[in-house]
Amino acid sequence: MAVMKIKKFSFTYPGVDHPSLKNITLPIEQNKITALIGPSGCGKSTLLRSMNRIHDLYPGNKYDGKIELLDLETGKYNNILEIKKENEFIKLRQQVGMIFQKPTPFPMSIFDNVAYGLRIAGIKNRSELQDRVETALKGSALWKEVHDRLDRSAMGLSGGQQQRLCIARAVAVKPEVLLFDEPTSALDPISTGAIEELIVELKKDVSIAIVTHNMQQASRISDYTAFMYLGDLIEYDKTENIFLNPKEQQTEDYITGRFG
Amino acid sequence: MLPTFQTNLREVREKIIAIGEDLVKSNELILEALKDCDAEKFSKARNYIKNITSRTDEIDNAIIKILALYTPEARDLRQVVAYFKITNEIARACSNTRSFIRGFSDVCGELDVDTINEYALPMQTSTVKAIKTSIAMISIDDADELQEMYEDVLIEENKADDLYEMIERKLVSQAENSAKSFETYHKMLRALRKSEKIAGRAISVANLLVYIKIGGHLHN
Repeated sequence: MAVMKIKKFSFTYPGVDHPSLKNITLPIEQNKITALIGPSGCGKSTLLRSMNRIHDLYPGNKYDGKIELLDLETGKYNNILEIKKENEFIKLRQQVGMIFQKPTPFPMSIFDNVAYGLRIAGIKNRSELQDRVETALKGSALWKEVHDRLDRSAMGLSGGQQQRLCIARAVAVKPEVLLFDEPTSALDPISTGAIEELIVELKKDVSIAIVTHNMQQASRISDYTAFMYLGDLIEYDKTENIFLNPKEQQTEDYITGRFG
Repeated sequence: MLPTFQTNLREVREKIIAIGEDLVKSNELILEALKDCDAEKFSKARNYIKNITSRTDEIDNAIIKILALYTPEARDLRQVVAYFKITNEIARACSNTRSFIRGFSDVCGELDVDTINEYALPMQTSTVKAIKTSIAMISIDDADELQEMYEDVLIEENKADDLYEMIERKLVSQAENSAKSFETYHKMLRALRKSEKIAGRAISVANLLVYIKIGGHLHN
């Protein structure tokens, strides 16, 4: 079952004539990891960012088609491209969280970083906040390392720990979908391994879309893979099919490094 | 490496062990069957190694998937490659076992008990020990224990080899006595050649398992 259905979706940045994404149709399956791969400029990050309308922090973007998000309570799909009100955007970004390439901890304590989204969501009770922060940190495999220094600044954590903290912050508000935009490209192999393990673990509770330039990472952790090129979706299939028996020559050329 | 890699690899190992254990059971039953030329036991022995191709195909495809998705390195890579080759060795040992059953079933009735006791039983006993030890090695992680078991497989394989050579020499001497007994011994020799090959596969499997642990260059 798809948690998100992208249907004939096109996207054009403000002041640009040509769309950066053309007629993309793609599901994001529930409790699965979908990897978006392709060369730089293919539109994979643009597509990922469209999934929680983060482009709309700046005006003038042009959308066509639909991006439907499943409402887990009603079982109905809502087109997120119709969202206009600020409070609806806040709700959308709670439902569809995002982790960026570089860790983005807020300049505040570890506890407050994770509690930030929860407070915005209206949770004020101290003990409930403590429980939810602890659960999120445990779920992000960070609790053991930071439980005795929750009041210290998050800026003192290592890069890998900061990234897991950002994941904890996103996980705390119990999103339906988590979007990862090259989450390990700034990390060393050990931290990368920890984050990959965490992402695989997280899919039990949340559906995941990940943009990565690392082909091995896509093959290791994802269930489905979409290969994009110049704004088009070239091929989408189960990851083992993409990496073992791709249908399109362009896909095969890209994953075997024979592109261009 | 990710837990999913470990899970996939463990599944492959369990499937290899399952085929290996069926191969051992088949050869143990052959040993029983040889004692009294029991056709029913020969037939049961054959049942253990039915549909091996579909089972090894399943393992091969799982290994290809692991290579494609996880791009293993170092010990992980050695393990995946060795499992690929071990599956092939076991499949060929199963094929040798089938040939042995077919060949010996044909000649068994014509051989006297002494001949079987003198040659076929000790040779098949060594083969069973060799293959049984090599399959048990798949579950062993300790390097010293693995090395000891490797030596055991080597000893049994050498025994099977020596016994085969003795039978060959006996055959040459029989040739001078009567054409009839020569033909019978020749049939037995052809069948026992398969038993010797199974022992040879056992040493190949053991070699590959040591390669996983120790590393170095892959050689047969």
